[in-house]
Amino acid sequence: MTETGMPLIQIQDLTKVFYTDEIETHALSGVHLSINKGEYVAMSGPSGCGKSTLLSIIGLLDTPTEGRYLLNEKTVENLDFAERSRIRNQEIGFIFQSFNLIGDLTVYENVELPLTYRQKMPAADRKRRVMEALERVGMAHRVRHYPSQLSGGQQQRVAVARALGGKPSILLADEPTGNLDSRNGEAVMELLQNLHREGATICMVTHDPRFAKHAQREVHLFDGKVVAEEQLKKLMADVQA
Amino acid sequence: MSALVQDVRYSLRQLRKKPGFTAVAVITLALGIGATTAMFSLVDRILFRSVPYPAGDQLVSVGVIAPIIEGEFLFARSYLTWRHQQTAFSGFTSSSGVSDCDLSDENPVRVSCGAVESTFLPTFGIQPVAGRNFTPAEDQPQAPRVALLSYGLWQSRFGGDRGVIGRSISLDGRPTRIVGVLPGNFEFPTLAHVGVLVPQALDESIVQRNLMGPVIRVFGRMQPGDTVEQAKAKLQPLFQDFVQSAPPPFRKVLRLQVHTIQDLQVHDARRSAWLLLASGWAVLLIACANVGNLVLSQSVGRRKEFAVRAVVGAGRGRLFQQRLTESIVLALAGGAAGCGIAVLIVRMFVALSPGGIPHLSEASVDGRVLVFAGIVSLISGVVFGTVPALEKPATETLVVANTLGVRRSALRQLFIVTQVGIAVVLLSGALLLIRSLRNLQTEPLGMNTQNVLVAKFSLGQQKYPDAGRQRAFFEVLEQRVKQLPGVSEAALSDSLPPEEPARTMPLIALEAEGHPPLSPGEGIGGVVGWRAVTPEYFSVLGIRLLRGRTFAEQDRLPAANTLVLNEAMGRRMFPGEEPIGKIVRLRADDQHLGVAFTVIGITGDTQNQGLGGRVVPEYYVVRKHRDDDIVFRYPDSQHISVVARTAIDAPTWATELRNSVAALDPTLPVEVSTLGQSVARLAERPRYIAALLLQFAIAGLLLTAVGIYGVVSLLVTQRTQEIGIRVALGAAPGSATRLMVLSTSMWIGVGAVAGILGALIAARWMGSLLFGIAPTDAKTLAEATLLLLAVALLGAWIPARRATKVDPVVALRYE
Repeated sequence: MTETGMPLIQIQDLTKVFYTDEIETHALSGVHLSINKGEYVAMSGPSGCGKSTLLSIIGLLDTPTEGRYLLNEKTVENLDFAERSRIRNQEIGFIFQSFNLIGDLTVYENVELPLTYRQKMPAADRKRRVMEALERVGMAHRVRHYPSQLSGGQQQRVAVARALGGKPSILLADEPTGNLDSRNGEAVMELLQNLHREGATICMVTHDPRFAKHAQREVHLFDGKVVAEEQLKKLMADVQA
Repeated sequence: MSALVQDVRYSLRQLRKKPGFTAVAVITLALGIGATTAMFSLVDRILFRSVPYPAGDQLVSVGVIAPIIEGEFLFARSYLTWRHQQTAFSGFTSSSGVSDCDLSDENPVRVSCGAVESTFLPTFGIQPVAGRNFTPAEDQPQAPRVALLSYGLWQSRFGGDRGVIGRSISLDGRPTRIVGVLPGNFEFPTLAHVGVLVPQALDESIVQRNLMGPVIRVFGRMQPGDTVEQAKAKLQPLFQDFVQSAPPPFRKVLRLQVHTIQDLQVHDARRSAWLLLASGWAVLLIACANVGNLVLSQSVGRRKEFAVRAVVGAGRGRLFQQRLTESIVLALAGGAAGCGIAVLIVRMFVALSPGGIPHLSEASVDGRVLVFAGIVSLISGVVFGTVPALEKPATETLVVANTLGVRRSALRQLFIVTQVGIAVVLLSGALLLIRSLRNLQTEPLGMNTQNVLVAKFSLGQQKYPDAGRQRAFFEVLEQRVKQLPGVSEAALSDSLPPEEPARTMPLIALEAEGHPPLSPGEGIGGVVGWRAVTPEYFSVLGIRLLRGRTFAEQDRLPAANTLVLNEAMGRRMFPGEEPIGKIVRLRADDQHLGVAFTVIGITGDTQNQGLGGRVVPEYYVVRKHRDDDIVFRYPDSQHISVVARTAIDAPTWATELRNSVAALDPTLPVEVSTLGQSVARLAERPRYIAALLLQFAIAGLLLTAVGIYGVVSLLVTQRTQEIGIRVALGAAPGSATRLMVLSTSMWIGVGAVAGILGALIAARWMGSLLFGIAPTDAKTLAEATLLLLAVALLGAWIPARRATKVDPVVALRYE
């Protein structure tokens, strides 16, 4: 994990527009956001507000239409696919709502997968990292199992281990409890909490206020813009009215 | 490297986990790779392998091409001059060819004897496996006779005994000492079967005596680094001397030919070989398009996996490598199965093969063919795997939900177009060959093959060394055959149409009464054929008499000189006149010089240049009861064909004939067949090629139909929700089927158009393989296209019917 306090992610005046046929959809408009190293940030907002789009851009899965994005003080908004892949592999760990484990790979192989894409990492190092990550999430005893042989909660813990294995600068979690029952959801949140205590930087998208409260800071989005909590409440009230 | 191992391991796991997909893909690839590999095996020796001599590409056949003799040749006198003066070759040698000879030991046996110069083996770089080559002293006309045995004869006749060297045997009644044994892989350059090699013993005094000498075949080894063109250029001065020494009418038609031994061996088989190899590749391309579609279908289900891999850091190159590895592993599995199929195909095709296709019987799936199969498998994997592997991973869909719709894949459409296009080309090619074959088989022969039996004899030099003994045997044979039970008529001829070409001569050698001889400026006037026959020849073969009469017994008397012309010959010699009663003088040929013949009859034309060949003007002379008859002045006078019209079946007649001949000469081999069989043999090769191509066309057609079936099945599955919405909104069930078929039919149509264009291009190349049908025959092309369209649309319609069964309630819940 990284040194705390320094800005890890700096987003300035970021815009994302989707073009489909003749329709132009502004998913994000003029977003400014900064996440410091060691910080635990929750992004929330109503459905369609742009939080997943913002997470995609932070995770270098997508590129902004306009604006600046600095990751570890490096400009990353206009990188090519290969460079984005390399940065994702080394700097970013993903945790998805639907776990996104590869069904044909064992637990061990799923966690090992990001490490296999690193140039010249010795097999012994890979194994050590994988086992460490699995032990951290309490899944070291299931290395030979396939995802279909695990419960949802266990799958998500394996997904967390996969995200941790590469020792990324930041963990991006997209509704990590969305496919879990409340007990498993709480367990995963506790796991993230522990990771944060150990120094991890986490950015989590959630629409559940209970889970958002686990974060140090909440970022609210509405219609593609970052808004203050009070403003969000007012806007939501206006919509409901 | 570890990434590659990991990819291979993962690929194998994928194949195991999806047995249905794996089985279909492997079987499809096995068919394509098997077909291509089998075809490679069949044509490898024809197209790619060098001849089995050291530095075989330096070996050439050299000679002059003239209309009256098949292939390049030199007269012995010219050869002896060239041998001393040429600078083009490091080795220069000759052969008088291969003929039957009688090996008389304890049990007489007929073998093939090749007559070659003592320089033949050194020029070809061949070393005897036992003993030695002939010495120059042994290659002289009066030298004691020596011989080299073929390896096969050495093994079968002498049990591989090395003590045979130095032993004396009787060859055509002459004592001959065995001096060596040829290697097991010895191959005569013309591919003629050779049991014994004997010295050619050219009489070099013919140069001083100013005689032309016999016709011989000449071979040379080019200087290292020289091309055929360079060798030919170096021979030009000698060739020009040859031309100047030839009679003036011949000078314009002579040309120098130098070509490799490989060309000499395969000549007209090359085009057929390329056609078959191309058809194998075509089937493979269709198979690759099919598997490409299957892989694309699999990709739809694995999109999330590749997105995840990309999210965790796999670059495009790494993903490409993994997916290509999967395709290549799949292709290698298909290739392994394909080798099994290739073994079966090769065995079947070799078993069914007709004679006359060079090296076909040697075809097998050996190490070289397996390497080819491996390379083809790799190429296949790259062909069908590259395009799906280039698909961009949809990483954004892992976070932003519900953007994964049905991708209307241009690749899938491209695969359909490719498959349909290639299938149209294959099918039209096969139909053209089938039509051509039918034309060949229904072409009027100008004779009636029904109830005609043929027996062929070749008298050995030992027992029949001169014209007197040969004629005596033939005349007794003629009488015996006529007395056989069930024989109504019988005749003898030195050759038979359409299988055996007649002897030929230049028209300038004939002088027609009332017509000025051709001037030297008119060249040789073309080539005409002639046969020496007995009187009943025409009635036995059912050759129509148009005017006058055919031969009678009195024409065989020494004083009678009569000719029968075929219609083409009559027109050629006496245009617009009645030839009956006219005199034809044979003037230029040294065998016929000065003889005047009276034309007594005109018969219909027969196919005398093989099936589908041009009818050559032909005349007939009768076989006379005299030893100095024209026919006995030719070196092949010991060969005779007997034809008989009989109501009894061939096996019974053959037994009767053999018994009758055995009473005359118990050692004489007899070859019996029906004339119908002889004619059918001529169509065996085109029938074989057409059958092979038809099989590939059917395979291509079925693979295409299966491929389209797979594409439409996938479309129905992918669009179930859309179909459900349409049905929920009131669409009739049949309209969903139409929607599915129509979504594919446009691309089937585009493929058909591309196929028509491809077929028109390929047809130009096929032209020389066709008879009686234009390579661009519109009817054939239309039939091929319609058949393909029907099968392809059926392949689309069957899975599309599933769309009518979509339950909108279920479909709208479909994910």
